[in-house]
Amino acid sequence: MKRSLVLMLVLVLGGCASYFAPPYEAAISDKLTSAAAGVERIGAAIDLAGAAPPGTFAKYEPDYVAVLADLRSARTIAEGRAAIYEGKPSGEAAKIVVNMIGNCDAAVLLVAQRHKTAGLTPSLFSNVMVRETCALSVKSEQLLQP
Amino acid sequence: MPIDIATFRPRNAGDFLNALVQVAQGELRNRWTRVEGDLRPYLQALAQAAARVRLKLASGEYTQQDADFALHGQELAINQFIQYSHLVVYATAQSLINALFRTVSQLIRNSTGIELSWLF
Repeated sequence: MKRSLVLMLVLVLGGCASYFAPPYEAAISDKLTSAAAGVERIGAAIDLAGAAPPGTFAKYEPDYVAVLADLRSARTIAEGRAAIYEGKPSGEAAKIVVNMIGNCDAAVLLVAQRHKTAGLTPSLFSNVMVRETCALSVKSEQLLQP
Repeated sequence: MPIDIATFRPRNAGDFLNALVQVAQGELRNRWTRVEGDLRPYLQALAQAAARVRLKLASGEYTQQDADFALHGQELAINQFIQYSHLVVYATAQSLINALFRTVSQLIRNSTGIELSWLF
């Protein structure tokens, strides 16, 4: 009797290991951390230079490309995970992580576009909140850590 | 007095419940501390950036185009905050299930000797 009760508990609760949230993926976290560090690097370079007129875009372009590449690899892994858990609450949670990577991506593109066309200042870079937006997407993946 | 889950041997459903409530409270408190630590500085930065843009626009330091650019970024930052808040709910529910299941396994082991920890 006791054993069958235990077996039942195992069956009911064992299926819940990733019912509400998908499992943490270190690869996503690493890529996002690297992207957020890249954003900080661009911000620090603009701070040091005091201004970043459109002519300086070519110098920064490899940094922007590296950040976007990291974000896109993270998104590919995150989308794969969302597909696995689709239809369950954990699939919804996995989709939120994908959306948050998308927000960081959109913010970086916005900044890069502006840098290319009209240039940036340290004040604009900090007021556009791209640092915070990308840092929060790192924290979103870390939230899934057990 | 807090229950020591590692050695506690529940005698009835009431004992089980007390132990589970204690674990749930602890888990929720930990989560909240962590999430608050993430969100408070984030919202502070957002509020300050929004205020700065308005001041700079009023003083003529920012053009309309500068302000549009900054506000568009802040819009993304607000959306990011909303997404994160939703994720907190899912992550908290999951961590609560995990903590409760761990406790149930531990209490079963304490009273029956049957090991369920291989499930994790």
